[in-house]
Amino acid sequence: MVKVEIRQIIVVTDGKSNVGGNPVTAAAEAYRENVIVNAIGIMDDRGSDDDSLCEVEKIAQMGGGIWENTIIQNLGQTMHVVTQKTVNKTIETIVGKQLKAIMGKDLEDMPPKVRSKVIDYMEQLGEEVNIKCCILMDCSGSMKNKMSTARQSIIELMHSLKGRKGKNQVAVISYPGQNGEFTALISDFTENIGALKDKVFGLKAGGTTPTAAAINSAVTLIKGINHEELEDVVRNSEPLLKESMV
Amino acid sequence: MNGIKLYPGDILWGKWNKNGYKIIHLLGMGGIGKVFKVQDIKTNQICALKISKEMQSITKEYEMLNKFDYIGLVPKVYEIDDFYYRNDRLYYIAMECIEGKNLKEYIMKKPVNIKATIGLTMIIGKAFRILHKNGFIFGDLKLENLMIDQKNNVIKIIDLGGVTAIGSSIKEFTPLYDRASWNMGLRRGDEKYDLFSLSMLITTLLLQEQCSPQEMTVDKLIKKMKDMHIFSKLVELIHKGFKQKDISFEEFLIHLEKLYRKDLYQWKKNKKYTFDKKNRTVNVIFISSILLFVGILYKCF
Repeated sequence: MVKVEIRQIIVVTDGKSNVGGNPVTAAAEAYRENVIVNAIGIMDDRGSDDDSLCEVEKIAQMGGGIWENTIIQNLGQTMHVVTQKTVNKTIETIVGKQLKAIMGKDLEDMPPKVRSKVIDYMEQLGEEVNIKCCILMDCSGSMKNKMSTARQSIIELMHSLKGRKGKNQVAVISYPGQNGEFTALISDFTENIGALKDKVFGLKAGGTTPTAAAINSAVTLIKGINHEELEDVVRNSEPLLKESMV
Repeated sequence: MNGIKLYPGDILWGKWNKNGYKIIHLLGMGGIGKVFKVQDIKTNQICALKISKEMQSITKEYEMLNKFDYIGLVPKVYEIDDFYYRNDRLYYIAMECIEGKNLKEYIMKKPVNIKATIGLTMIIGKAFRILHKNGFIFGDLKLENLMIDQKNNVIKIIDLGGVTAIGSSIKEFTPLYDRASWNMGLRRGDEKYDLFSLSMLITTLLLQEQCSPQEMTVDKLIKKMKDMHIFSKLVELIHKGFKQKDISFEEFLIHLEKLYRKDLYQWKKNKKYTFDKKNRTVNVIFISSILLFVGILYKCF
């Protein structure tokens, strides 16, 4: 059986990036490094402006990932769905390539009844694949009333991943960080729910939305570079785009 | 799912089996796709088409509908196929169209009395036992997935998309009935996952409202039921079901059945839940479901 590790970022945001570079280019770069960038837009009851929804879509498109817009109450479920779809997509691509090599056709070119055996195999792969998931939590001022649900949703995702057979690691980065930093590492990659539970209480809202810087830090973290270098990446991130300023 | 745009009158042709269907109207939508009422062009038969972009999910559900067809409480499945629609490849299963209301729509109009609630839970629970014995759990239980089949006067479980092999992870769920959303366990397929969702099903029927896991805890739900003076043996049993400790799925059903048979006098004491004539139809349906079910059980074992 193939050994694969899925490396994904889930960007959670309730508004448009307004400082620290262009998140869409950052997502494209992450994807080039084999890190999938998914994006979830948090909508208000009043509905959100089209600009920020559009950014969420573009981040995921360039990041090879999936995007969803949802209300904060459904964040936990949405993170599950996004992860599930990423796993399915990745496995479909891998198995699809193998099928093409062996049989010369795609899965969809087979009759539905023949597919089901391949799908069983894909399901099994999906269960066993290792997942490294870095959650980027928007902690800008507008998230203030949503933080407790956001924390709960992260724990919920962990409970969801733990239901699988493969190894699951979750890290959490908040953006912005505190004291004017673009990002803060809330929790490094861990498999331990208890440890994560304690750490997510460090998520506090207030400040700007430096989405690009957050994506860059996540890629660095996933690739396993130490934190001094990480700060460099943040500082050297691309110049601010004018239209993305507040 | 927002991607599937089909309208009444549209006709689609299956790629493999070459059957054509004319869309009549939308019946409902869920996490992975949409269900339409359609007419088979060749036979004029009315059926339901579940359409999705997710090949894996549709293929799995087709397998499960076939596998558990003999339980009798699931819709008959006719075929699986796919078709192109505006550059999208869509996958579908054609199945029996059940005429009637789902239980959520039903209870909005007519609250279900306590005895019928227990009876209903027993039927569902027994169907789940068959799944468990075959190495699967149901997973995505909710009122919306239970239909009252008006033609045959029985309960039908209409969505098998959440059926999961024991030991695998839960992929499709609804937060209200999902123990991980209530911080009460992992999203993993084990009997206890179904125990939690079944306990939540009774709770929503008893409270006659749906609570959100973000705003409530399981303990608050229990307190709410106590405050409504629902008799304590039942509330304690539900509490055990929520905690999923000290009780197996099977034991839970046995206790329910005892309450169903013996504690009739207690319902009579509580005026709010006495048998009312308005509820007669639903009772008839439950009783005929139970009879049907007993018949099936004899066939199976």
